Amino acid sequence: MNGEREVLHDGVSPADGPEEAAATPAPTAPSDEGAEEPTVTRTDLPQAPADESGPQRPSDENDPGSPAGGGGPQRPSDENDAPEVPQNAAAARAVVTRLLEAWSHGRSGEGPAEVVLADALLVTSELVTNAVRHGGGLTGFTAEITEEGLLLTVADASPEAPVVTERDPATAPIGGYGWPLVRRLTEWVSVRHHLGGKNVVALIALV
Amino acid sequence: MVREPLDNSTPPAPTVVAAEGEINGCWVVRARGAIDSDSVDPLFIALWQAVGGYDVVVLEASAVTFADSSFLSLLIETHHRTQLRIAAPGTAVTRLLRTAGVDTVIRTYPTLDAALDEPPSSRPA
Repeated sequence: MNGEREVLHDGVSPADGPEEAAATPAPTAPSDEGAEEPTVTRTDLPQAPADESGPQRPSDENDPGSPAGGGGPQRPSDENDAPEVPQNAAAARAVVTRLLEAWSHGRSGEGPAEVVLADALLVTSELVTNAVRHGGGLTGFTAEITEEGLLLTVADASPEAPVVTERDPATAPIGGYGWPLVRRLTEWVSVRHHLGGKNVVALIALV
Repeated sequence: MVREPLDNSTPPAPTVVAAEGEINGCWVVRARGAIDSDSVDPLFIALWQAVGGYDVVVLEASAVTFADSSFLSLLIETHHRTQLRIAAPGTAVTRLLRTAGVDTVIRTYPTLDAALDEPPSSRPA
């Protein structure tokens, strides 16, 4: 558990000092709230993945394996090099499981610690589910091991920021627990907007 | 129209409710597998049906390999309506409850027998 370096908390980032504001406000973001949009743009990530969003497309139509299957006609030319987008949260969890098992076996010869794996899968599931259900569809997913930990990048097709409302578990109506779990289990989470969607990037410590 | 499965898609998983029935006056639901927003519905139905007729509902969770916030919110909703007991939770469920801070609210038991043995309590509202 860590509660000290959560970047995305009520729209401010006390731990990381002044952050560069998002250069281009999302045109379709709701403006009925006076609250500052909880957007944090990080430019210091050593392995920030390229903006691979390309043409916007729903998650159920990106099947690079069958070009004759009626996929989008405007695929970027480097599509073959890009990882496939998981179909759902379970597929994304399988990607993370394989990555952590390979990393752990290469490191210690043993599998990843149960709690580390459980936390990583929970964050993965929440972020991907949010992209699928509330973000207009999952448009990209990458998981990589960095010196800092497990870096997840989840791209969706909605420029709107994630719902960050935290509810009291004792009184809450159904739903709304995902984001607090993500915040508690990650070193930091950032949201980077781009044309046609956003990337949610999260770092999970691997200790 | 039949869509070909993606290479990275996962095969359809069996329902997350393995069994349910009455034991010692309690309604017991045995859950299994990975429970997320895509798979939670059968468990939602099972618990929702149980809360109307039983004072104590036991969720046997030893075979649950993964659970996310959809499972968590279902547990909290069930807890508000009946005496929910979680029996034999594994790492994933234990960790989820602890991370969410509800491990002090929702009772867990090391075994199904332990969950069944405790008499129904009269909880303060």
